[in-house]
Amino acid sequence: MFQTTVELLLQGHTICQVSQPDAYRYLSEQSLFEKVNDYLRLINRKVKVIEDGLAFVACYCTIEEENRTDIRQQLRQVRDIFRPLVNFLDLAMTALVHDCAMRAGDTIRLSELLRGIEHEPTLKQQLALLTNKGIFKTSRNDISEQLNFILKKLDEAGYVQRLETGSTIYQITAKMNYIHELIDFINDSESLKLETQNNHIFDDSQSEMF
Amino acid sequence: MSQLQSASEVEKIAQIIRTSFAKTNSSMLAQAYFDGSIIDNGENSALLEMLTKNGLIRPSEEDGTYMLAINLKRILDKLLLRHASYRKRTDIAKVMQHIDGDIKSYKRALLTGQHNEVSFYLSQVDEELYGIVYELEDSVSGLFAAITSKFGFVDSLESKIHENEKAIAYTEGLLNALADINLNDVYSWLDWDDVPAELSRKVTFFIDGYRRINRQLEGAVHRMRQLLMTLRKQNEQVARLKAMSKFLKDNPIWELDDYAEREQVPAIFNRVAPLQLSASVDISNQVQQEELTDIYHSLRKESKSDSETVDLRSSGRIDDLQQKARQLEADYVLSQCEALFTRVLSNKGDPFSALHYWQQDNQLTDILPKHLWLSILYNEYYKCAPAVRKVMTIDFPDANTTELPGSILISGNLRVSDIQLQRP
Repeated sequence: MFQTTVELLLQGHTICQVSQPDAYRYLSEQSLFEKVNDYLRLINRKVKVIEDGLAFVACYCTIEEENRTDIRQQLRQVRDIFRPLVNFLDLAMTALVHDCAMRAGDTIRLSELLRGIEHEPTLKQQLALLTNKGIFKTSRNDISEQLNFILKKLDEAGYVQRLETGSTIYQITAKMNYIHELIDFINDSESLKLETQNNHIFDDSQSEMF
Repeated sequence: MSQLQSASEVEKIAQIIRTSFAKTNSSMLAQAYFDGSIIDNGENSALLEMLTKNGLIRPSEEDGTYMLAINLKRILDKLLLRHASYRKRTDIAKVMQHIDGDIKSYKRALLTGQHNEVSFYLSQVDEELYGIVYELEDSVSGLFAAITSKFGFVDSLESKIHENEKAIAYTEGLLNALADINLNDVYSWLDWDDVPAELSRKVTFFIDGYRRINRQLEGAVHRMRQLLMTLRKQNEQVARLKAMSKFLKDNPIWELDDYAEREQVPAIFNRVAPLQLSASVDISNQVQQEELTDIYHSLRKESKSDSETVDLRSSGRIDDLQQKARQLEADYVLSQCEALFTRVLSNKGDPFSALHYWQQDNQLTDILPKHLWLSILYNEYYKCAPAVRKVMTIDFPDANTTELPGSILISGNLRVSDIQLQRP
């Protein structure tokens, strides 16, 4: 299990209960965690613990010029997915009438999403916009196929995991929590004042009611 | 038969209760309880006789007077105490004062040899101590039920937070009430010579119960506070996600800053890039060579059996597959248009050649010819939001007009051999 765990970390996987249960259990053992960490330290990497042990990822011990390229590559990937994913999560929460954030361990059912979107013209329009550009861009016009495409893309990127082959139920991995973490970071570092924005959203919805 | 019998017995008991606790009887029994006895005045003789027959009252030592039956008095004592302790539950300090007084009375009765009073006060102390522990345990179990099930009964995050806050406030109230119990005072109840074992047992039971409940409550408050923190965090996350989504919709050209170029890369972006891991087979190694041969044979066998079993043409799936393949190719081309736009927007000042991009991507060159790529890219550019187009200029280097119908025509007679995109 040592080799598998190290390889998964080096390949950039976020190891959590959903995505890699065996490696997750392995790293949850303090002594084995230390063993993996000691090994990675030899190559300027270490295991980063996410949200009190919710997940594990590998990061660099020190950022030098040679690994800046890797970080650039990572950042590019994050940048590509950030906007469409945030918009998709917002859309999914509205469609599923969820007031809880979608986090590791939660499930997304294609059928429920479809049911929530197909009779709502506004949501259908949002989905069409979402699949018109970015990483979710597809030539498919059918809502079910569009949703399937998005979930497939998220599965490939490691944000969700199909429950079993052929299933249309996906389980959210701890990588999704990174998006929430990122929103908090952007909000603070770029002083977006999202809390105030949220009040405006509330005002807007109130005015729509009248 | 047995059912009939039990039904008749139930009816018999119901009859006794009805006759024994009829309105007039109840008043008489209540009077007997509070006054200690009731006098036969001639008018109530029949009633007294009936109550005596039912075992609710008994003749006293004085002629013509009746007292409540011992068992009934005990039951009423217990009911009254429970009711009283329930009311006093929020004021445990007062209950403790009562117990303290009762223990002193018990001690006095014991020293003066008044056995009836000893028994009475011991029973009082027992009821009070048991009452506190019982009520607190009842509250704690109610609390645990609230934590484990109530939050599950309400769906919305707001309601869960509200329920949690209520439960915490309630628990803190209980903990404050428990703080009124000073164990030193409780131990002092046993701080005299020759303490009867029965009193010692009751007080020890109380101390154990108190400690257990205290631990449970502290644990519950800790768990609920953690849960509340998580719920509040989730609430904030939802609000921020919604606001971020709105912000992104309102600002179509906003992009994540180039944090990788900062001197101090924020910790959130410190993640390793996927490392390509590969290993080669050492063919000079006999063991590996054998294994490799086995793998080779099994793969050959597998591919042979696949071709034998699946006849795509006969099952009529060729069209489906072709259609799917075409769709995948279309998605790939569109995704590459997006990728190029993203690259242009993230690299201010750098011009990007669409032709060069197409030449660099083998998959793209396999899927479609140059002129189609340029046409699609041009089309996709004009599908972008006006705000995006405003910050991403398009230019056609080496374009020339011609009267001849060229293969790379974009508009009218403009012959284009490349598209250049740039964020000025």
